[in-house]
Amino acid sequence: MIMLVSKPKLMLGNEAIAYGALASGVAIAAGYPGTPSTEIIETLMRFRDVYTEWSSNEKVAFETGFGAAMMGARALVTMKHVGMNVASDSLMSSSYTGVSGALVIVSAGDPGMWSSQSEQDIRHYGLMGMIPVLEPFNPQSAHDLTVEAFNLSSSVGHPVIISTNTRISHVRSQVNVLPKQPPIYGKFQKDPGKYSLVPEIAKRDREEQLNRWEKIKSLTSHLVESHGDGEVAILGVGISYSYVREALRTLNIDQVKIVGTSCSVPLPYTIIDELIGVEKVLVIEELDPVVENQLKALLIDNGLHIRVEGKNLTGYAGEMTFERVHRSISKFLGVTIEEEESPINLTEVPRRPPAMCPGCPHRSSFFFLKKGLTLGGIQSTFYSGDIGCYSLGVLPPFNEQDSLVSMGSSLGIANGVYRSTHVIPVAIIGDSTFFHTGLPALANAVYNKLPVLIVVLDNRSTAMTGQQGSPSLVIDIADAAKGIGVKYVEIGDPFDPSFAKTVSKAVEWVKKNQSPALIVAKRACALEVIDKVKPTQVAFVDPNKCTGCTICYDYFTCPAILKRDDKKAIISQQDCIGCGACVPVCPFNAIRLEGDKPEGWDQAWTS
Amino acid sequence: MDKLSVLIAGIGGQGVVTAGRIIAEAFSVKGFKVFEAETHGLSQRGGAVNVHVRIGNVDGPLISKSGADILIALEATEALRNIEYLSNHGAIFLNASVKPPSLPKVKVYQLSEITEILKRWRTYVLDCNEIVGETGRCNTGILGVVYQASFSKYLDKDDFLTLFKDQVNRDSFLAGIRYWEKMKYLLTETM
Repeated sequence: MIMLVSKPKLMLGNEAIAYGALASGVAIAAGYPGTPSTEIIETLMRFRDVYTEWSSNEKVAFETGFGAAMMGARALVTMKHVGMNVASDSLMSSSYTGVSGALVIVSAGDPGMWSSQSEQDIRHYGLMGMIPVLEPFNPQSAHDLTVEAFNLSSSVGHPVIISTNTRISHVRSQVNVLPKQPPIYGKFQKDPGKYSLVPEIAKRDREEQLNRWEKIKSLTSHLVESHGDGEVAILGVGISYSYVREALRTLNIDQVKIVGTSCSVPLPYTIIDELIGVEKVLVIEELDPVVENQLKALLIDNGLHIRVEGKNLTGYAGEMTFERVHRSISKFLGVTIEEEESPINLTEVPRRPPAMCPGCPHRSSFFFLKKGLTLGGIQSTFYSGDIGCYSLGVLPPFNEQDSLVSMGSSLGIANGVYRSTHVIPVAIIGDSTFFHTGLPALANAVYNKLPVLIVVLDNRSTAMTGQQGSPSLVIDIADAAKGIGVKYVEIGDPFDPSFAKTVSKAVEWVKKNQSPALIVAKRACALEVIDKVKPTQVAFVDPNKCTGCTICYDYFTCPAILKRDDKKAIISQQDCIGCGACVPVCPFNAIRLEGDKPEGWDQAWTS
Repeated sequence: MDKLSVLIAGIGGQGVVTAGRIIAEAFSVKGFKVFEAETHGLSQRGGAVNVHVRIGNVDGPLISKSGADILIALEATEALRNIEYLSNHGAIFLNASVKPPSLPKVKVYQLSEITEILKRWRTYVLDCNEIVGETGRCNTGILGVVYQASFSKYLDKDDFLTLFKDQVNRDSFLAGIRYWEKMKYLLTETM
C-alpha cells in the first residue's frame, strides 16, 4: 500500500514525471535538453543520490539509460519528440534485447509546433518497435503513469515510452506525489547472449520480443476507463480525453458513452468490452490516427461492425483544443454547437516573433558575417542553418538561415548544396549542436573536401532551452576542428567589428583551397552573463550625432533600440544591458556606453 | 463559481508566465482545482506569449475561443492578438503601453487605435506609473487591480501577498488594490 506524502502540490507536468520516476527508484537519468522536455532532468538534478546528466545528444542519452538498465538499474531517458529520431537506432534494438532493470523513455511532443521544426507523432515508434506507449491526460496522470511505466518495464524487462506534450509537460496543476524510493542502481552483470545483436542472437531475441509483447498486452489492458452509457461513444486518448470530458459536461450532452485510454500502443484490447452495444465511435486523439487505426483492426479481429470516425472529423494538424473537439462532436452527433464568431478581424496585428535578446552575440555574428562575406567577394550564398537560438537568423533583417531542418543538419545540407551547384555555402551551427550531431558531418566535409565556410556560434551553452551546459565548456571547438583535420580554424569575437575581416579572410582561403574553413564566433549567452554579473553600464544615443540612418534599429534590431518619431534612435534604459554591441554598429559614432563596467563583466562574456 | 478562465498576454520577458503562476498558486492554496498552461523555450524570447489559467470545474488546460472571463494584457497590442479568446461578457485589463516588435519596418498600432477596437468590451486602461510609481513593479500592480476587481470574490489578499518573495512586489500589489478602489467608477465610465 503506497501512502501519499503530502497534500497535492502545484507543479508542472514535467516535475510530476520526475517525481514519478523518484517514486519508482530511478537511479540513472540522462537526456538532451529540448522544449518541452527539459524540466524533467532539471528537477531530478536536485536529488544527489540520482545520477543525472545532459548527454551530448539523445542517442548517447538513450544508450546511457539502456546500458544502466542492462545492469539492472532503473533508468529514465528524456528528450523532445524529434530527439527520438536521433535515439531511434538503439531504441529499436532495445526492444529486441529487452532490459534487466527498467528503462523508461519520456518523449515530449509539440503539437502546434510552439518551438519545434515538426509535430511528428512519436507513437509510431511504439508500433514500429513493439514498445508500449503511455499517454497521460494531465499532470497527475503523468505522475501516475510514470510509476506505471517503471513497473511495466521492470516486470516485463522491456523499454516503455511515455508520450507527453506541451500541454502536459508545461501545464501546472495540482499533483499528489508518491514518496521517493531509494534509487535502484544495477550490479555488474554480463549477458552477451541477450545484448550482442549478431544475427544468431538477434533471431532469438526477436522471438522473445514477440513473447514479451503478448505479456505487455495483458499488463496494459487495465488502462481504459469509461463514464456514462449510450449507443454512441467517444474515445479520448491522452489529453484529448480531458477535453472530451469537459466538452460534454459543458455542452450538456448525455447519452454518450465516454471512453478514455492512457495507453496508445498497444491499444488495450479491453476497449472492445466498452464498445459492445455501441453503434458508432468517435476517436479523438492528437496528431496521427494511431489509436484509430488500431481500434479499426481490433474491431475487425473481433467481428464487430461499429462505425469508427476520427481524423476525418478532428483533422490532423495542431494541438487539441476545445474548438476542434466541439466541431468534431457536432459533426459526429449531428447536433449544432453554437460557435461564437471571431469578434473582430485582426489580420493586421503586427507579427511578434521571438527575437534575439538584447546583448545576444548571435545578432552581432549575423551582422558582421554578412559584411565579411561581402568583403570576401561573396554576394550571394546559401546559409545552411541549424537548430538553436540562432535559428532566429531566419528573420529579417538578417535572412541568414536558408534552411534549417534538424539538429546538426547544416553541414550535410551544405554538402548537397555545393555538390549540386558549386556555390560555396556557409554552414552556421551552435556549440551544443556542433557536438550533438555536427561532428560526423564535419568529418565528412574534411574527408570529401567540401569548400564551405563553417561558422560555429559558440555562446558557451545550450541557450534556447535555458542555458544548460554544453561540451564546449570543456572541449575547445577550435582544437576539435583541427583534430578532425580542418586546416583553417580561427576564433573571433562577434562584438568586435574586425570579425567581418576574420570572415572575409576565411572565405578567401576557402575559395583558394577548395576545402572547409571554420570560424568560432565566441561570446557567452547574454542571459547567462547578466545572471552572473549585474549590469551597471547602459548605452545612450547622442541625438545631435544621430542622423536617423536607421541602421541600428532596422538592420541590427536590438530590441532595446527604438525608433523615435523623428527617425532618430533612442535606447530603452529598461531593456539595455550595457553590452556595447551596438556601439561599433553606428557609422556616426552616436552611441556610447555610460557608467562603470562592473567587476567580472568581461570575464563573464568570454570565459 | 463553476469555472473561471483568465488569459494573460504579453511579451516574453515581461513576467507573463510568473503572473500566471502566481494566480494559479493563489487559487490552488484556497483549494480550487487549477490548470495553468505555459509555453517555454524559443517562443519566450521577446515573442508574443500567452498563459492560460483555468480555475474550478475544468479538465482541459486551454481556454476555448470566446471562453475567457478576463484578459490581462501586459502589452496593449497583445490584447488584440488574443481578443478572440475573450467572451463577449469578459473584461480586459490593459497595460497602456505599446512595444513595437523587433522586426524592421512594421506598422505599429497606436494605443488609441487599440482602445478604439476594444471598446465593445469592458476595458480598463491602466497606467502602471500611476498605479505603482517609479519604483514599483508594473505587472504586480496590474495583478493587484485584477485581484481587487475580480479575484477578491474568491480569495483573500493574503493568499497573494504570501506568494511574493520581496516587499516591492507586495507594495505594488497593494498599490493595485488601492488604485482599483479609488478609480473603479471612473475606469468603468470610460469603457
